[in-house]
Amino acid sequence: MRIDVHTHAAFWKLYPQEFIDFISENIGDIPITNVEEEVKKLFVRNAIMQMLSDERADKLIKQMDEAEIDISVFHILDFGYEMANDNYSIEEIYEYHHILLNSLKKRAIVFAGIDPRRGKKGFSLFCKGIEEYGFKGLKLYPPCGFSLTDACVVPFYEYCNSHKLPILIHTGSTFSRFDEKSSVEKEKVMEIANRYPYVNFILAHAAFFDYRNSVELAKRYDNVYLDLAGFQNEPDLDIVLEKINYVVGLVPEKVIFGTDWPMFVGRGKQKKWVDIIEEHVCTQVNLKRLIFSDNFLRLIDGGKNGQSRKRSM
Amino acid sequence: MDKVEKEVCKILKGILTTSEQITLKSDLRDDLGMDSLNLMTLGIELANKAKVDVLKVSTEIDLMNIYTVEDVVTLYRQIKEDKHFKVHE
Repeated sequence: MRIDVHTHAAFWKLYPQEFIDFISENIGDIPITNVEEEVKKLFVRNAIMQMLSDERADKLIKQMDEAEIDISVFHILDFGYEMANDNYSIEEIYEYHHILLNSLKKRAIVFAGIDPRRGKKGFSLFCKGIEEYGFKGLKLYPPCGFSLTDACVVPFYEYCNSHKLPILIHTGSTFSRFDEKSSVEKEKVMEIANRYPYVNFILAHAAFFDYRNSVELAKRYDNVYLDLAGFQNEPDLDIVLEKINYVVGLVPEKVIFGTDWPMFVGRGKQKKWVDIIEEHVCTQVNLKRLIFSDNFLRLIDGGKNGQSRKRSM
Repeated sequence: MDKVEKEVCKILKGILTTSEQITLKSDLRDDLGMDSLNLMTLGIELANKAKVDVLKVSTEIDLMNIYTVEDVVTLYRQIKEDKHFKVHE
C-alpha cells in the first residue's frame, strides 16, 4: 500500500486570491519581449487557475493511479482568517472536503485545518469535521500568525489528545506574506509533544528542511513524526538523497512519504516522486512499507491500523 | 518529423538552453530541464506562432499537465486547428 500523507485539493475557490497571486508571482518573469507585460502576467495567473481547477480531484486520482498511490491525505488550509477569501468561507471549505471525501471514498483521508484564532466557532467547526464529516486529524499552519503554544490552540490539543488524533504542523518556509510571522520552533514542539502524549505530531516538510534538528525531535519523542513533502523543491537529486537518507537512516520508523500536491506539479508527476523515494531511499522492502504506509497507519484511528509505539513519557 | 513537429522543436530550442537532442518522447522536465517558467513561456510562444488568442490558451489549457514533446505537438495542433482559439478581428 502507498499513502501520500501530504496533499491539498487543487481547487481555486478554496484559496484567497492573495495566495493565488503569490504563486503566480513566484513563477518569474517570462523572457518574451513582443508581448505586453500585463498580458504575460494575466497568462500566468490564468495558467495557475487552470492548475487549480481540479474540483473533483480527477487529475490527482489519475496521477495516483499511475504512481500506484492508494490514498492521499488532504489537508485543509485555513488562510481565510488572516486574508480575505472572496470565494469559499471556512464552512464551505469543510463542506467541499466532506463531499470530496464521500466521492473519493477509500482513496482519501482529510485533516481538518483551522486557524485556532477563530475561537469557539472554529473549534465547533473542527469538531463537526471530525465527528460528522469523518476527518481524521488536525492541520495547523502557524505562519498564519499564531504560535504552537498560544492559549487559543489548547482546546484543539486537548480534543486531539482525548480522541488520539494526529496533528500535522507546517514547518519551514512559507510565502512572503507570512515570512515575519510565527515560525515553528523546536522548543515549542518539545513542549506540546511532552504535554499531549496521545497526540502524534507530524512535522510537515521536516524530513527535508531543517532535517538535523527534526531528527533530534523525532529521536527524542515517540510522538513526533516527519514528512518528506517539499523535497521536490531541491533540483539537485544528490542533495535530496543525502538529506533524506540521513533522516531515514536514523529514524526509519518516523518518516512518512508526502508530496504537497499540487505545489510541485510544474516539476513532475506524482510517479516521479514515488520513484525517487522508492528507488533511492527505500531499498529494502521493510523500509518501503514503513515510509509509504505503516508509519502513517499507526497514527490514525487511534492506532487501530498498525501496531502502536510504546510510549516512554 | 512532420512540419508541425519540426515547428514545435524549433520553438522549444528557442526557449531551452539544453544541448540535449529533442525527440517526441523527450520528457520536458527530466530530459530537457524545463521548469514552470519555461512551461509558461512555451504556452505564450505556441499561441504566438499559431496566431491565436494568447489569453484564451491560458484559460483553457492546463500547461502544467503537459509532460512530453509529443504532448506539446498535440497541444499545438489543437490550438492551430480549433477555430475557438482564433483571434477575433
